[in-house]
Amino acid sequence: MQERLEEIRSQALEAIKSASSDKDLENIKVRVLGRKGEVTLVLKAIGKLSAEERPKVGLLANRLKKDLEAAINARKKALKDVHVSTFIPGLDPTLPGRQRRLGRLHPITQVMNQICAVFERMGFIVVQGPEVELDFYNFEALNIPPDHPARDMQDTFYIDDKVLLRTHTSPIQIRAMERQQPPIRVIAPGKVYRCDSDITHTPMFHQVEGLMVDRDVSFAGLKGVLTAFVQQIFDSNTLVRFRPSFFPFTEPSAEIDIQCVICKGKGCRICSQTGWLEVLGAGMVHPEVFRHVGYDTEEFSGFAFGLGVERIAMLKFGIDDIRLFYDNDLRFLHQF
Amino acid sequence: MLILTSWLKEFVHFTVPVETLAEDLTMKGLEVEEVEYFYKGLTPVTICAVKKIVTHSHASHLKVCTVTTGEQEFDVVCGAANVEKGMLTALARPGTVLSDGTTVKSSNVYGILSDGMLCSEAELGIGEDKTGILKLKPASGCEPGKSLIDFMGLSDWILDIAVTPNRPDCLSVLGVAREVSAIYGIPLTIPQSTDPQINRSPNQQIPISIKLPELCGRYTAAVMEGVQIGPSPHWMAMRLQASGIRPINNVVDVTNYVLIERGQPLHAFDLDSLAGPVIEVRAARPGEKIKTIDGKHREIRPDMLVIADAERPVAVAGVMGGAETEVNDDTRRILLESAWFIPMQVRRTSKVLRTITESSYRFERGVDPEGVLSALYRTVELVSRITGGRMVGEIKDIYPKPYKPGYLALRPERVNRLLGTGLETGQIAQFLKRIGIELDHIDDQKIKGTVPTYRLDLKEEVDLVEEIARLYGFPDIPTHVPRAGIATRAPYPSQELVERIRSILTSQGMTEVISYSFMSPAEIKVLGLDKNDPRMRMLNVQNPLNDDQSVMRTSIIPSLMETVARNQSRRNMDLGLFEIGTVFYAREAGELPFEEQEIVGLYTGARYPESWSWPSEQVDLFDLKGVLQGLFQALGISGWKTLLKNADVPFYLQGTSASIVCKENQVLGSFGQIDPDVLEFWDIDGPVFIFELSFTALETAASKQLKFTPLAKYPAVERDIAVIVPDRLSAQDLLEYISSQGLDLLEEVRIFDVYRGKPVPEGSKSIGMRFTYRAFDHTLSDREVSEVHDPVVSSILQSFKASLRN
Repeated sequence: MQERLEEIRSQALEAIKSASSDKDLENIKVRVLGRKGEVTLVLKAIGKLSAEERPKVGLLANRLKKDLEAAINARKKALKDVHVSTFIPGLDPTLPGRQRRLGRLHPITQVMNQICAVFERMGFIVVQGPEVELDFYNFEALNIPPDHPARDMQDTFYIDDKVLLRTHTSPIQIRAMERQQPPIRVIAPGKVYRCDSDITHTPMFHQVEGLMVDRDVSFAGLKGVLTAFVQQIFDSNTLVRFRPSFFPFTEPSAEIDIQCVICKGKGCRICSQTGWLEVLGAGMVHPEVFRHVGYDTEEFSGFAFGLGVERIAMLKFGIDDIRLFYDNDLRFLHQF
Repeated sequence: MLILTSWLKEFVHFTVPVETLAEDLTMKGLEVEEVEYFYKGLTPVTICAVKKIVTHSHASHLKVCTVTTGEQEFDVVCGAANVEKGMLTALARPGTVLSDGTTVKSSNVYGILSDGMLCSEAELGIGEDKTGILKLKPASGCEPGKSLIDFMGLSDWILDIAVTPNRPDCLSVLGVAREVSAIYGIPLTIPQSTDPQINRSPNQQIPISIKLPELCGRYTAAVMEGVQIGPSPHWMAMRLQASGIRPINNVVDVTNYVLIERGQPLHAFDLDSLAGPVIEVRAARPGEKIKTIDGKHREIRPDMLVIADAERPVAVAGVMGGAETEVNDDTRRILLESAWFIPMQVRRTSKVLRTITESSYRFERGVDPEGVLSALYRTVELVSRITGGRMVGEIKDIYPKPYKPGYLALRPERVNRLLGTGLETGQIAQFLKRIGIELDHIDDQKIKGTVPTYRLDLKEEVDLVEEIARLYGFPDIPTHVPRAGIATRAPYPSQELVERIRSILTSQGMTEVISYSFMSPAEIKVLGLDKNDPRMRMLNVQNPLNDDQSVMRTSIIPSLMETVARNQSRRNMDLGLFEIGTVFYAREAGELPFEEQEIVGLYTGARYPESWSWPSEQVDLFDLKGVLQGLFQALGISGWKTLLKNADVPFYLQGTSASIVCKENQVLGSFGQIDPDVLEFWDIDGPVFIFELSFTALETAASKQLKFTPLAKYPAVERDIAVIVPDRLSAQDLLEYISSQGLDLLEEVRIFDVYRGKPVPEGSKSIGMRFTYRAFDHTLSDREVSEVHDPVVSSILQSFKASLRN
């Protein structure tokens, strides 16, 4: 019996030593240690032995079992090590990886999405409208009659006397108000056009405008919403300043400045030494606009605001020439 | 509007430093864009003592003066007669900007280096005297080396104020002074000029008439004799220059001075050049012309208002005077005009003539109708003081319908509700008083009062609310997040779809671009489209910035071609780009165009970024089609196919393109390789592969609701065959034939190989296909598969006259 065990041991160890794969080792394990394996057969026959020999052989068989398992595991590990060190001789993990073509969204789309997301979280709904507009929606309904000097504030591209390229996305707000009574909470993102071209102006750019009309909407509420917006888009410590301005479709009207993101208010070239950067225009909707769409000016009040997406993107990313957005140089687009 | 602070101080005595003033004006609605120190040009000027004077060896009229600033000595060449040893004067070191705008430099004067300049009061811009150099009296603080600015306490600044169109009343020193007075609650002092009715001689009356009182609301005039034309005194010229106005002569300067001071445009005629002399305010007559004082000959139209004498127009009302009647060096008698024209009339004329003047700018925004006469008084007063002229006859004031001042009521409760404030009635009334409203009723329900005539912008209650808001101060209005109901409306489906398309395309390695919505007609013409193609219906922009942007784009392809060309010129050769944007098709004139969203994508250059281990390969049509497949799969568009026969799109290279249709033969778009002739127009290196898709069609085809298909639990069986078929047979025809057999167990047929060449006979090709069979509820046996597969193979061989390749 003991000789048989020694025989199994020497044969098995030999087989383990020459095994070249995990599969070989599994086969050896089954053949020797499995339920019908050689060692198991020895153990099953143990009952035929004398009471004296039984524990002795049992002990030997169990030791053999342990030894062989250890040998198999050791061999497994050795095989694995061999794989790594010899599969690709000289593998150099510092070589650059196989990068795929990068697909990116235009920075304006990215910033526009961020802006819209802030307002959508506040319950504003996105609305859209035509880019080629009627003079009526772009100007008259917004309290800018023909021959009004406020028309000089925006250099307009005309198609004919009555049709133009929208100079802001405000006409969308008028169209939205024509469709529904208050309460209303909408934002209108989109392309707008003004005939102007230099380092800070392009003939086409993007705006997001917003409108909230309800009972008891106040200037204090306007300040609350826009302060929250600015602090979400820039950072929560950004200082915000509201100062009076003029837009024909709002009254009171405000321009909103943020503390210069470049110099932190100390004064630099970007903020013309003022420490402030203008980022938004806003105000309480002018009663004349409400009259145009048939809203009751005594019952309802509202605020409107508008911002240039390029301007926000330039400040966020530190871009100094707006024309880069429309140049579409891949080296530029892949930076965002 | 440029405002000199010393001038402003004549009207309102503010005590805050200029920085505070600028900040406060900005925060109350008059945005100060820049504060410029008026004497900044004099920064390098220091007091010096003349130590030695030697006559210039090559120019006897010049002297070489050695001056000291205490620590340093300089040699300066000087021609002034009054220079003497020991005198204290001002040394303008190089860099000094003199009052005429010239900059002092070190210069070589007949062989001697002059290290600066000794200056007169006039040259420095601090006084009238130009007869000799500035002579400083010895006094405490007057020491060589000290800055002249510090010694003389020169403190004056120019505020550059951006006046919004609603506040024309602030287009003057007086107007800004009123604001300062309102902001700080300090009194306003207006130098009052009264009716200077002297030397009354009724014989001198000049007939004046307004033919169109609906366009000219008021016309006042005064006649003055004995004026001596000459340059203006220094103080006046300096103030005009500081305000951005070039001094001309003393009479013209006075009219400009009063314009800046009071905001009332004025004009002076040379009385002896006026025919009649009469003044008529009338419509221009057909064919009339005028040469204006800027030297331009202008055709005027009957819808314009002119000031005319007995024979011809002598001024375009509110815009500009005529050259033939302007004040000149020989003028002795003048007629001064101060008038009020309807804003819209002046604006229209100014637009047609493409001329904006200080006058038209103010008239079109609105001038105080009650300030017309007092401005004329002020002008007469200044003209007589400066030119020695005197008024003759009476001042004429034709004012057919005197202006009725506005009367407004304001509810304190309304103020607080709109602003979110808790202001007391008394506080509100106080603010209204500060802006000049004469209150005659104050209680908690209503405050009522008369609006000053210069505040033409205050027309209704909300206009007063704004006044309260800004004077109270925007920073002091509370900041609250408003209460609102929960929004229940879903976002527009198209908004979501655009986002999905963008994200699917970028996930496949394409980069989004955004281009201008403009293009040039040539860019569409080069595409070779049929004249009935909707893309030929271009919308013209009346006033484009340039010819390349003269129409609205009817296709995104030109925009992307331009982008490719620009990138290639910068050696960005490997491009995968897409754009989603609006295209515009013109309809009838006066009608809005048809706007549609289009999606265009393209590939060109290398398939993989250059790398040590990627193969170096160029993209081809199937890279692009793969992107489309991915897009359609992710959008849940199934059952789409390519159509070759409808794909005769002229800008694709023949034989490379196909249109894409979906179930009901709805065209989604097309793809192909751009024709090299088209590429040449943009100077692009090809090949370029492109697809264009209609967003609307995609929206219709895309699954509104993706449905889950249970995953198969039992293994599939694959069978590969290769069939030799005629070359012209399209893969799609073969696949469609197989799918039309309606085989239950067939899960998928995939083409894994296409081969031409030996041993496949010429004119044929071999297509290798892998058939995947699977049952949903059990593992298929070989026999089951063969029962389906073998007949379909034979029917393929039969239908396409194909043979199996071994």
